[in-house]
Amino acid sequence: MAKLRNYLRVYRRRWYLTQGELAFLLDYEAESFISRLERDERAITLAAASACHALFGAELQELFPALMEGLEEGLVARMQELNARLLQSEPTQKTASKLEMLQEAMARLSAPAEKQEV
Amino acid sequence: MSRPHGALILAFYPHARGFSYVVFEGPLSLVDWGMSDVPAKRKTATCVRRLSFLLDQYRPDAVVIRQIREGRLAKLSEAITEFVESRRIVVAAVSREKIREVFAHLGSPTRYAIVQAVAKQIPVLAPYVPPVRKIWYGEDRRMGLFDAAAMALTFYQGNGAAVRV
Repeated sequence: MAKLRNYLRVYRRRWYLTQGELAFLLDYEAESFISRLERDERAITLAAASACHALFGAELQELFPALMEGLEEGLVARMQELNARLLQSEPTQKTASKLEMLQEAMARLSAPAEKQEV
Repeated sequence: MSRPHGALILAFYPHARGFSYVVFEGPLSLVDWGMSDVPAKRKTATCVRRLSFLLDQYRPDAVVIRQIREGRLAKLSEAITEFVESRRIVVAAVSREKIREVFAHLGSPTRYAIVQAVAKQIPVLAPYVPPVRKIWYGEDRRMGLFDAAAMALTFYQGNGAAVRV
């Protein structure tokens, strides 16, 4: 389990980038944005997260473990809730399709953990 | 970065000009490092305040400090130990002798030889290796960074981590 909430600073420093340089690369106007992102005082945008992934070649789970874990947990909980609701509703073709999609998604989300155990 | 994350260790090395620190997440994974100059006036208070910021930022499992029993830095070292313990974080004091023991395979290691061994072990620190000091110059401030890293590696060695320095 990751000890830090996000690893943006770790990756930035590993490549000796200054906060100003990373701000430029991520198209932020001020380096204080990077400082706030690194200290987890500001939520990262999808554009910036994708840029970090492209820049450092690291998965988002590695770069922002706490954020991704939170997103995943919330999503799984909501999927389970919808799954339960759908199971109680009328079994139509649409419902079956939704249930199939939810089960595939839940299997995908649990797959990385299984891979690590091997 | 794909390896499992280990215990978070902050090595804090106070010296005459200020302090240096390194943060490791396992013996092979350097997370952060830095050097800070602290004016002689209010040195203890400033060091403790900046250390407090680092503790808040990283919430380490243990803080490794230099074991200083006498001299000008002894009081500072004591204050740091007390402060870290007040935050309920484990403090490990590492002596210079212990560091020399860990780096004994270098023969009779000089500080500069230890710096080079640390840079080899942690390549991200390699650009910080100072040039060999001429005796008429003072010590390069970057030496403290390697002292902090050597302390952290010594701590891991003492705790059974599979690390070869």
